[in-house]
Amino acid sequence: MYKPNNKRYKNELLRRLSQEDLALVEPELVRCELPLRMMLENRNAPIEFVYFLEDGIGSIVAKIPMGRDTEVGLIGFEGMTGGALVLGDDQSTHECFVQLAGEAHRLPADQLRSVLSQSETLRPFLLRYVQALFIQTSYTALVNARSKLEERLARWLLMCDDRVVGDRLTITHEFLAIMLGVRRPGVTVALQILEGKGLIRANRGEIILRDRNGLIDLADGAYSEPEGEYRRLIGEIG
Amino acid sequence: MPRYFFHYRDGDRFKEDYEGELLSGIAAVEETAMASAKEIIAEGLLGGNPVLTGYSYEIHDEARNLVLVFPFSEAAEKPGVRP
Repeated sequence: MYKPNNKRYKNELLRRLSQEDLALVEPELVRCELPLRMMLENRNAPIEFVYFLEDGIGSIVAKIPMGRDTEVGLIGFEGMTGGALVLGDDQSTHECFVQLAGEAHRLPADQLRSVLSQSETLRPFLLRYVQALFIQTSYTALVNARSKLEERLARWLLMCDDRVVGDRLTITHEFLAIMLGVRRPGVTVALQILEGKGLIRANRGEIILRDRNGLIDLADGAYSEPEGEYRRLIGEIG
Repeated sequence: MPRYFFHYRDGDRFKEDYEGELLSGIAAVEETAMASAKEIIAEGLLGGNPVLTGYSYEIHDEARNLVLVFPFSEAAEKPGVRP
């Protein structure tokens, strides 16, 4: 007899689905690669697939016409794309694309709608994740308005580190510039500041976290709080 | 479009830009350096620092030729595009 198995997944949401909900979702899931810069959602366009990330990082990015991009949401193996579908919308407001290559299990949007209508427990569970992502975004708004460049950088390095195995991050300066809302050359300056404090080592496209607690201190409350809210809403990671 | 590397110098400290970015030419290089320097100076001021005029970008092309030295003092004194 078919028995769904949560332990097959690294994705924290799939791991936590009830047996009944996983039995509904699992037959429709297709494993897929997430190459760098792959579009997961397009701006003001219908959502085609929902991605439950196994690893890698997806980034929700807001754009002002003729302006530069700013990241407003970060998704790794703790989450999923397609929050708008869970909320009852059928399209995405912003772009979402892969900033660090990885893998995911994807589900067509229609299938998600269908399983949401068949289960009384799936939507409430996924809504808790959407709330966690909303909290993350609200902290991003706060730090973008109030925190110094190196404090924001410390927060994002910690957030990336949480979503990557090991202490080496291969994230591009182009991505960090979007995260930080600065022009790309400024990322070198900000990395130099953290390096000068002994918190990281930045080398040829690779950033090594040397002092996680020091980075948390530097982020000055902007890290930890949303992560604590995720644990409250969803559970411990890993 | 050619790729330009914005190395950064702060007194004795030198930080290499390994990634670089694609820009249409020297005018775009200067505009990017100006806007980025204004941004960094503004961030510094908001963080309680003095104007960081001792910094500079040393910008190289793909053949490692130095194409522009851009002292941050330029960004402190001259107008430029909005960062």
